[in-house]
This record gives sequence, structure tokens and C-alpha cells, in this order.
Amino acid sequence: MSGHLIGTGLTKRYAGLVANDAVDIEVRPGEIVGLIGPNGAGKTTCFNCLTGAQKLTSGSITLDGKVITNLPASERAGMGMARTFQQAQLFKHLSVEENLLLGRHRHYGASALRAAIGLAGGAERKARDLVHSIAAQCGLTEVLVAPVGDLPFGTQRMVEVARAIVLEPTVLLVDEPGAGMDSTESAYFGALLARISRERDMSVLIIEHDVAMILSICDRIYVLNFGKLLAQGTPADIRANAEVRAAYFGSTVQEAAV
Amino acid sequence: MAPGVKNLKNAADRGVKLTGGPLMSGKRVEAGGVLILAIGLLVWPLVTPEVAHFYGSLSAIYALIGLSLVILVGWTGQISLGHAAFVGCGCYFGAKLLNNDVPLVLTVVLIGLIGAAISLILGIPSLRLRGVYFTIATLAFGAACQQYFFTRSEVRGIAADQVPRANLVGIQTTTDRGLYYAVLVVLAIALVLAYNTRRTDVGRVLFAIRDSEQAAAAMAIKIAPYKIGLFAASAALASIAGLFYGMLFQATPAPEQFSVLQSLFYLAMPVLGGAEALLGALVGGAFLAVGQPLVNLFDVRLFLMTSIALLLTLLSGFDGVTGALKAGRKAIADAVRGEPVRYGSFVPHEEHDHSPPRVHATVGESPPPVGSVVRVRIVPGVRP
Ligand SMILES: Nc1ncnc2c1ncn2[C@@H]1O[C@H](COP(=O)(O)OP(=O)(O)O)[C@@H](O)[C@H]1O
Ligand SMILES: [Mg+2]
Repeated sequence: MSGHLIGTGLTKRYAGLVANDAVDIEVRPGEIVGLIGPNGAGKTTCFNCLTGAQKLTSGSITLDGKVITNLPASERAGMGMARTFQQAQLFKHLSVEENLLLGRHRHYGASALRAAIGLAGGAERKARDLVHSIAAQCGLTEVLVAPVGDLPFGTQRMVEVARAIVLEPTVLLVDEPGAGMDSTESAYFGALLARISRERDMSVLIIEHDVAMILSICDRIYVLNFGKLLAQGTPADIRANAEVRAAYFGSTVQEAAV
Repeated sequence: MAPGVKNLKNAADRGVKLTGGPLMSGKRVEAGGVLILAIGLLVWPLVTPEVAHFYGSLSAIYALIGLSLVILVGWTGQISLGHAAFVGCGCYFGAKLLNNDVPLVLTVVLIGLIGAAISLILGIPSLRLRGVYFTIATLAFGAACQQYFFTRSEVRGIAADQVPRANLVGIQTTTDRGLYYAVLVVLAIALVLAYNTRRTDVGRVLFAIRDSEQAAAAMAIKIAPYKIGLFAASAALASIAGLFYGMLFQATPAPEQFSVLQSLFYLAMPVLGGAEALLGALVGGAFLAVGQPLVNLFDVRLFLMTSIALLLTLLSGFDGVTGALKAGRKAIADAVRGEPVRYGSFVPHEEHDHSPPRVHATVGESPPPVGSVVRVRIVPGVRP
């Protein structure tokens, strides 16, 4: 099984600000790992460093034993690392279906030349079959032909997640997928993500503010505060951790975690 | 049945279609239109006097250049001011090859390769830069070709080289009509290649890169090869057009014909014809071909005419002539179906009132409490 992502001593400095300070993070094959922390704690920065969208100041990253610290984002994606963005980044000139089909790029299986002379029918059909099945699983069948710009916010986020899943990643990083969802929607989303992770042997690293959802679906959780790792452990550990409670949950953890 | 499902069915009964999805615009209508257009393009030279065939050939050549810009501007959003230089390279190098008895089919391929090769020298360093820097690089390239390269006698010939009218496989090009058909074949092939590309992975990738390079990279897309490759394809098309341009005049034209100014006129083609639809190239090509020789090349009237046409296009808000036609077709279809209002892909129920909300009366304390007041009108409908 693959999808083993390890970040060691991840450090990212912006002028005068240490957004990530020697963060050690590990996602083991098949695990769902949560990354939580207050706004500005450096969670998105950590994602960007892991996926190659930003360069690390220092530290190293391996995926399934291979060092990927200096690989560009596209190559990391090609190795099976998919992600979504905190601000959904959909291709707005394309339909939902075409957006999802782009996830299929690395498995497309027909060269530009073959496609140009009209011989990509098989590849296109295969890509569409996969896209349609994932769209069905994510409840997007009804909107496949719609231009993405017309969709409600929550649906756009779902499209982005589905597009990442079409990539058939071994590890998926999702950044605040629940933003703008109510608690029912986000619980539903969490369950869906957990199921897809199980079915596809896909490890997941998820940033999320909905504590109830995080505590219910994650195997392990990391807590980040001011760029430093504050705590890590199972949901039970995190719930019990007094420091975390003070820094992040305040006193509402008991209520939030029911 | 859940109410949502029923509503969806109602919408489908009314023939409601979503807007915008590039792959789902009335397929049959489109195929029929293309067929009629193809027959028209094949038949018209048989029933017109010879003088028209010259303009026909020139239109087809310009349409090739227009297509090269439609894929560059329309698909990637990059603007080139050096395309006339590619046309020039195709013209001058093509003349040399033809004068050395290289068959025309082979010349077309070779000129395409030469154009692509030159574009790599320009594109590899500059396409890593964004938008305007790329345009400036093409501007410098265009100016340098016009001033220093095309003016050399080894390139253009002492006064002008003869350009023979070789056969394209079986098609005789000695008459303007024959040349027209030869260019039409090349244009048709280019259109088919472009159409297939747009509908498959590469086409989607190009649009993805245009919309968000960051998200494209997260889809395992290597960005540079696509930008460079598309630019090379565009340059190859422009160069091939240049080869036929020389054949049309049967002599190598003066370097001014391939100036940066001419590149600007070329850019009018995707704008006037429409950069979304491939066929926009044909409209733009015909416009420039008829406009440019009628009035003198670079005559002030041409500037005026082009500026006015561009202004009207931009003011109209349509994506060129093809965009206007598409909108017109949709409007007619909607009128026939009685499709009243649509908000994006959201289809409101027919019987609803769509006039803007008005305040009829306010009740309560005055002045009103602090804070903003938002009035909403709830419009029932379905999103199919
Ligand atoms: N490109 C940037 N340049 C400078 N500072 C940044 C940049 N991106 C993020 N930061 C800062 O880094 C810190 C961590 O941000 P971020 O990773 O987005 O936090 P989170 O996702 O946990 O809310 C914040 O203080 C933010 O202002
Ligand atoms: Mg964030």
C-alpha cells in the first residue's frame, strides 16, 4: 500500500514571520490525518510546502520513500499526490465534466498527436466513464454539463474534491473543504471522504475547522499553533489535551465533540 | 416523486438547455451548419468569375493565419505581435524550397517544421514569462525580422524571387482557383486537427493553464511544454500560410508585408471573427483579405475600417461574428420555445414575476435601526 507522506523539520519563513517552524508530520498509508489550529497557524502554508506550491526554507519531504523535497508541484501530483485549495480553484472556462476530466490527465493514455488526428476515442471514453462514476459518488451527476461558475459555493468545493479524486491519488490533501457548509453537510462530507479513502486505499490529510467532523473521521490529528506543532495524537488524546483546549478549542471542546 | 425531480422533468419538457458548456451546444445544428459551410466553400469558385478567386485564395491564406491566432489567443490568452514574421519566414524559405524543386506537400511539412523551430528559440525563454512579457518578446522578434533579416538579399532575393506554383499532390495551382482549393485542403486539415485537440485532453489542459496555473500543476500538468508546444503549432500554421502567400503573388513580397503593423492587423482576425469558435478564423480571414487589397496595404482607410470594425465588435459584447451568430441562434431557439429568463444554469419557474423588487411601504420605527438592510426576492425554480 502506498500514500506514505512524511515531512520532516518543515520550515517556511516569510520576511520576518515563521509560518512553519520545524514541523514534523506523517501520513501513513490509508490513514486519515487531521491538521487543525487557529487561523494563521500555518496550516495552508504546510500544505503548500508538502505539495510543492511553495518552496520550503528548510526541511525535507518524502513520498513512499522517495525524496520529493525539490520536485515541482506537477511531478508530485504525477506521483499520486492530489490536493484542493482553500480558495477553490476551478477552471472557470470549462464545464464541471471537463474540470473533472482534467484530473484524468496523468492517466489519459493518448498522445497529443493521436488525439489531434481523432484517435483518442478510447482514452476519452475511459476517462469519461471514470469521471461519471466519481461524479455519481460525489452527487455531481446532475451538474456535469453546467459551467462551474454557475454553481453554488458548496457544490464548487465538491467539484474540486471530486477532481482531485479523479486523479486517483495515493494521498489526498484537502484544505478546509467544509468552509461554507453547515454541520449536517460537513458531517455528510466527512463520511463520504472516509468512505472514498477506504475504497480507494487513499490516505488523507485534511485541514478543517469543524471539530466534530475532524474528531469523528480522523485516525490521528496534528495541532498547529503559531507555526509550531502544539500536539499530536488520536482524537481521544487531542480531546484530552489541556494545552490544545486552551489554545484552540477554548472551553467548548466538550460540546463540540459530542 | 420528490418535488425537485418533478420540477427537473418540467424543465426538460420545456426543452431547457444549460448555457455555456463548450461540449454541449446543439450538436446536430452545429454539424448541419458546418456541412452547409463546407459545401459552400467548395462550390462558390465554380460559379464566380476569376477575379474573385484571387480574393478567395487570399481569404483562405488569411484564415490559416487567423486560425493560428485563434488557438493562441483564444485558447491560451497569449498575444503575439510577431506572427507576421512567421508568415514572412514561411514565404521566403518556402520560395527557396520550391525553387529547388522540393514537392509542395513536402514543402508544406518542412515549412511547418521550420516555423515551429524558430518559435521554440523565441518561445522557450519567453513563455516562462507571463502575458505582456511574452508579447514584448514577440514584438522584438517581429521588428528584428523585418529590419534585419528579411531585408537581406539572400533571404528575399535581389529584387524579389520568383515563387513557382507547384501542384499540391493532384491539385493544380496554376490558376487562383486551383490555389484556393489547395489552401482549402490545408485549412480543412488544420481545422480538423484543432477541433480534435480542443475536445480532448490537450485542449482542456490549455484552458486549465489559462485559468489557474497553480491548479493545473496540482493536476500533474507540466505547464511549460504545453505553452511552448501550442505556440509552436501556431507558428507552424502561420509559416505555412506564408508559403502560400508567396505562391499567390508568385514572387516574394517586400518585407513591409511582414511587419509588426501587419501582425496587428492579423490580430484583428480572431477578434472580429471570434476567438472561441474555430470558424471565427474564416470570418476574420475573409474580412482582412477583402479589406486589405481593395484599399492599399496600410492605406489609412484600412486602419479606419479595421478600427471601426474592432470597436463595433468590442462594443457589441459578442465574441466576434461567430459569437454573435451563436447568441442569435440561442435567442431564436429561446423565442421559439418561449424560454423567458435564465440565471446562469438556474431556470426559474415560468409564471414568476421577474421585475426588480420594489418597496411598497415601510413599517416600524424611523429612523431605521443601524445596520444594512438586504431585500431579497425568492425566485422558485430548478437547477437542472
Ligand atoms: N505568501 C505569504 N507571504 C507572507 N506571509 C504569508 C503568506 N502566506 C501566508 N502568510 C502568513 O503566514 C501565516 C500562516 O498562514 P496560513 O498558512 O495561511 O495559515 P492557516 O492556513 O493556518 O490559516 C499567516 O500569518 C499568514 O499571514
Ligand atoms: Mg488556511
